[in-house]
Amino acid sequence: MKTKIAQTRWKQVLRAIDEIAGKDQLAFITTQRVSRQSGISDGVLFRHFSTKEVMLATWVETRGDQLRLLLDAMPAGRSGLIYLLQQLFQQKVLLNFLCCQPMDTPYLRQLLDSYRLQFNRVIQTRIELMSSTPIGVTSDVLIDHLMQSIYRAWNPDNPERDWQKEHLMNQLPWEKNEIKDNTFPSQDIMQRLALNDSGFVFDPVNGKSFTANETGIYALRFLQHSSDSEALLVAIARDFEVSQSDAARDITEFSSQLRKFLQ
Amino acid sequence: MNQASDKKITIAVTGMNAKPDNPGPGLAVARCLRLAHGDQVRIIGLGYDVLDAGLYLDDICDAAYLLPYPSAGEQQLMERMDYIQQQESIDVLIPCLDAELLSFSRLHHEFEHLGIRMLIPDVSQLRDRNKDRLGELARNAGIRYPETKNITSANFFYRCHDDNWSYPMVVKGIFYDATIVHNADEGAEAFRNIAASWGYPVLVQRYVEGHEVNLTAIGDGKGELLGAVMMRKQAVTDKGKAWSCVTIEDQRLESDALKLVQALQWAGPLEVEMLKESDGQYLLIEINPRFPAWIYLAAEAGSNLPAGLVDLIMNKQSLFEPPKTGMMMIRYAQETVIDLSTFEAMAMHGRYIADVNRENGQELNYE
Repeated sequence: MKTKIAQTRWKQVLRAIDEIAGKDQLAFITTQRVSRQSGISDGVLFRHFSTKEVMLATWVETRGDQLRLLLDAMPAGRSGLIYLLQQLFQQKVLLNFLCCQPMDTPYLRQLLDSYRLQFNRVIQTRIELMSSTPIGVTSDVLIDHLMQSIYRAWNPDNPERDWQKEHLMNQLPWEKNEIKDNTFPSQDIMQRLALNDSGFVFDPVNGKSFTANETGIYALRFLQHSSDSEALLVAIARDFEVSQSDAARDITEFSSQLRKFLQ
Repeated sequence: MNQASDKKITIAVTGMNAKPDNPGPGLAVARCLRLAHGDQVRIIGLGYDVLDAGLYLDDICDAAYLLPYPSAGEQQLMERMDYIQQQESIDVLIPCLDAELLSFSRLHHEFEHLGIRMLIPDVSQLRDRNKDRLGELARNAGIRYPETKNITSANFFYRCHDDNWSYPMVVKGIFYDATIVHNADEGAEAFRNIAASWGYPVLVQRYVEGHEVNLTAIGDGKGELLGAVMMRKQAVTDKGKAWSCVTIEDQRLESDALKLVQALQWAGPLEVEMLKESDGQYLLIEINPRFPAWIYLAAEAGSNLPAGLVDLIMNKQSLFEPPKTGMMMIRYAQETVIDLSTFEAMAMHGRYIADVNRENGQELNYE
């Protein structure tokens, strides 16, 4: 059982690691950094934690258990997901836990990944049980869409994260046939792609190549000139004579595949 | 024997082994020089083994010599180079193998006295990018690096979990070889093989998932990175060597390479190998202190680095054009056939002169 002093020290350390994770610097964490951030000297730190790994493992388990409790408290259905998103954005420490770059030490990374995987699985199951998801779009695609949106709303380097966050606290990313501008990779990524009418696509930054069908090439060419996803939706529906809901579904799936290829 | 023309620059290139699954860079470097200069330069191939195929390719090397292995010591190397210099009047030497660079670097001034010029890193620069010190260099340059540890016993693999190491992991030699091992027995076997080939220390490194992106360039010795060409491996051999790759343009890779060159004040060719993880993060894997075996791709992509290096060394204007992206290399194996007199010349005398040996071959009768 921890003494009161030990509990205080532990909370200081926890907060320090949260702040470092919030700046996406967990991969570079050192005990000196934790010491500086928490205001606790190295010597005192090591009286409470035998190694840096023990300190980080305890942080992972503490925040992981907190996340699990949040999931347990989540109501069913769409409102449950919205509740979860609101709680995540209010409890920034959990958002940092979900989104930050992991540590390099494999067993710590595995421990962190296990909590994140569990989170994904629970949310995916909830999505599968929802009645209001887009028709024909798999839960794999939707969970990926949701996690990408959460990441963008957290990412300290994203200038639009406030907008993303505000949107996610009220609406799921795939709702109302809306394809948001953040669905696709950024325009500078799209513009760098070399496209050919044959369907061959090459990314000169990561060296990957892939093929796209006629609709895919159409969408890629469009997105090289405009990031207006609404306009793309309307254009595809018009030029390929499909309904807007079908176009929205296909665009969501296409964007998910693009994000995997174009990192 | 001196070359016929005094006007041609004579460039010696090492690393002429050309095993299909793991060729040395020398032959590719020589091809780059031929691409730039045709027969307006004289190329001397230098190898360590009579079966180094590049030594016998007449369209690439005008003459070829065997060198003593680095383990024979620097005195033997110096004596051999002195002899070769008397025959060939080499202007520039481009070393292409990691294991020889320390000796060449130590003998830099002696070579200069012979008239042989090089642009290579000094001893401290070579030491600072050694695999057992790379972590420190990476940290100082603000670049991520997988945790690496020196080991001196195969027992490590049977108790690695006590040290918070788990499988898979990568076992590496100080110069060459890297093997991914999945259990203690594999680890122990890899340790023994690498120690037998390259000695100690043997290194273990955390295994990281991702794809490899490589950059080659020349450091000018003042912190500048010249002529950078980047590629992504598309297909690798069993030894992890690229047999297909494509040129890319990756600003993050280039800026990390520049950080390293600045930190080291690197002089000469280099290859930076980085791993790009699925989340887009980069880790430094290795810095090789010479051109890579895929260097010919760089030349065909428009940035002929070996030719640029020679111009730099000879104080000529050297232009490094930005390379084309999307240029793809696919390596294939080809045979060269030599007659017994050619092999005899190399085995017995350690030299092969393309034109002279054709004449000598006619005089010998092995029937």
